[in-house]
Amino acid sequence: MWKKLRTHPVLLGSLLPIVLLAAWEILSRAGVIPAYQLPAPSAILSTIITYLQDGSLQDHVLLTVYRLFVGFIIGTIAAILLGTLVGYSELAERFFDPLIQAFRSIPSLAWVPLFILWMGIGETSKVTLIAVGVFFPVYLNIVDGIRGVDRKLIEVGRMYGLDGVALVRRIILPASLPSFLTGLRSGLGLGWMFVVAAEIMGASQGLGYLLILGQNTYAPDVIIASIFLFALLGKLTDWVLKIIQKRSLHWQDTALAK
Amino acid sequence: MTLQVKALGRRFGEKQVLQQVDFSVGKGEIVSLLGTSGCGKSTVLRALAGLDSDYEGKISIPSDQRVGFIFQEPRLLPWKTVLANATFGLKGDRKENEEKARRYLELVGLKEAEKLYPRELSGGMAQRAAIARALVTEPDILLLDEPFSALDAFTKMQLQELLLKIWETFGTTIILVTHDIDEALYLSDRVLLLQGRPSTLAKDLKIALTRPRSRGSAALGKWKEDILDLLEGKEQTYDYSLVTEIGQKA
Ligand SMILES: Nc1ncnc2c1ncn2[C@@H]1O[C@H](COP(=O)(O)OP(=O)(O)OP(=O)(O)O)[C@@H](O)[C@H]1O
Ligand SMILES: [Mg+2]
Repeated sequence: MWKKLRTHPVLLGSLLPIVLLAAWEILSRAGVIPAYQLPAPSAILSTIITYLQDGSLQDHVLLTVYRLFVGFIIGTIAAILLGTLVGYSELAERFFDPLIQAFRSIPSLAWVPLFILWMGIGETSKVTLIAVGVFFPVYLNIVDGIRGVDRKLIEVGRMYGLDGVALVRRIILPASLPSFLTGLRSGLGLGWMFVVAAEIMGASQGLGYLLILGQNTYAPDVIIASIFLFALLGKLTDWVLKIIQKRSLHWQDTALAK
Repeated sequence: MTLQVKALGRRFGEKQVLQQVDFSVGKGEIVSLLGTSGCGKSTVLRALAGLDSDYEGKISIPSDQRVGFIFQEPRLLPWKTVLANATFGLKGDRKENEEKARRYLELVGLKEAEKLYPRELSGGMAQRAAIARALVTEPDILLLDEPFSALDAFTKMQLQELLLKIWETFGTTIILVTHDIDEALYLSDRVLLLQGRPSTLAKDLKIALTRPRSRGSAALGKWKEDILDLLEGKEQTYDYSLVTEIGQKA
C-alpha cells in the first residue's frame, strides 16, 4: 500500500488536494467558514452545473477561448516575423530592438486605458491587449533561439550552398524550434493573464465577466467557479502545447528525452 | 592548377597562427596536410572552404569547382534522420536523392541506420553519416578535416579505400588534414608539413609511389621514419633523394 502510494505517478500528488477539499467541505457544512465568503466545494460545483444546464457557461467559455485564441495568433505571428528578422540580421536588431526593449519595460496592463480610449471596450481592444501580452515572451525566445543556433550547423548550411531565406528555413528555424516552443508556452500563460484583465476591464460575456458579476452580486461561488475554470482551461491549453512540443522535439538529445 | 594559395596568413587577435603559407593543388591530386595539434590545419581548410574570410593572402579556386567539406566533428542536423541528413546537400527529386543517399550510406556501413536520429548514433556512426552526406554530393574538391580519427582501425581502412574509389571514379581533388602519418602516406600524392610559430609550410613532399600501395611496405615505413624525424626537427637524418623543397615537385 505504502509502496504503491510512493511509486504511483499521480496518487501521492493528489493526496493533499483531496484532504484539503474534504476539510473545506466539512468546515463549510459545519458553518465554521461562512458561506457568503467561501461556499462549500459542492455548492460551487452545483453553480457550475446550473450554468452548464442553461447553456450560458458554454457561451462564456467559448468567447473567452476565442478572444485568447485570436490574440494569441496575432501576437505570435507578429513575434515570429519581427523575432526572425531581429535574430537573423544584426542591422534589423540595431534598428528595432531598442524600441522593442523600451516597450517591453512598460507593464502591459498599463496599456489598458489607452487601448480603451483608442478602440473602445469592444473586441478590438481586448484582442490587442492579449496580443501584446503574448508578443513579448514569444519574440524574446525566438530572438534568443536564433542567436543561440550553433555556428557549426550554420557552417554546414553554408557549405551546402545555403544563404539568406534558405539558411533560415533549413537550419536556423528548426534549430531554434525548442526555444520558440518554450516562448509559445510562456506566451500562452501570459495570454490567459491578459484575457482576464481584458474581460475585467469591461465585457458582457466571458469568464472574466463572470468574475465581476460574482463580485457585484455577492456571489463568491460564481467567482470561485470561474477561477476554477480559468485554471482548468489554462492547464488544458498548456497541455496541448506540451504535447506538440514533445512531438516536434522528439529528436532532442536532452536528459529528459526517452 | 585547381587551387592556389598565396602567402596565406591568419591571426586571431594578437596571435599570428599562420604566416606566408604557399601551395597549390592540381586537379585530381590527393594532398595531405600534416602538423602538430593547434598548428592551424583546420584554419587553412576553413579558409579554403570559404567559411573564414578574415585571412591574409590570396586563395583562388575556379568558380566552377564545387567544394565539399567533411568537418572534424560530425555536425549532423539533430532534427533529421540519418537518411535526411545524407540527402541534405542534394537538390531535385526527393526519391532519386534518397536512392543515391542510400547507396552512399551502404558504402559507409550505415544501411541499417537510415531511420535513426543523430542522438541514437555512436560517435563513429555519426562521423560516417557525415562522410556520406559530403560524398553523396560528389564535389569536385573535397576538403576533409581528420575525417577518420574517430573510427576503429578496420573501419578506417575501409573508408580510406572508399575515398580512393571515389577519387578514381570522379577524379576528385582531395585535401586531407590528418594526424595519422600512415594515412597520409597511404593516400597522398603529396604531404604538406605545417611547422613553426607562426606556422609556415615547412615541407612539400611528393610521395612518388604508385597505387595501389601496400600498407606497411618498406617504402612507406621509410617515409614515415623520415617524416617523424622532420616533425621532431631532425632535419639532418632526412633522405633528400625523396624530398623536394617547398612548391616544387620531384
Ligand atoms: N575562432 C578562433 N578564435 C581564436 N583562436 C582560434 C580560433 N580558431 C582557431 N584558433 C587558434 O588557432 C590555432 C590553430 O587552430 P586550428 O583549429 O587550425 O588547429 P589544428 O591544426 O586544426 O589543430 P587540431 O589538430 O588539434 O585540430 C590554435 O592555436 C587555436 O587556438
Ligand atoms: Mg583541427
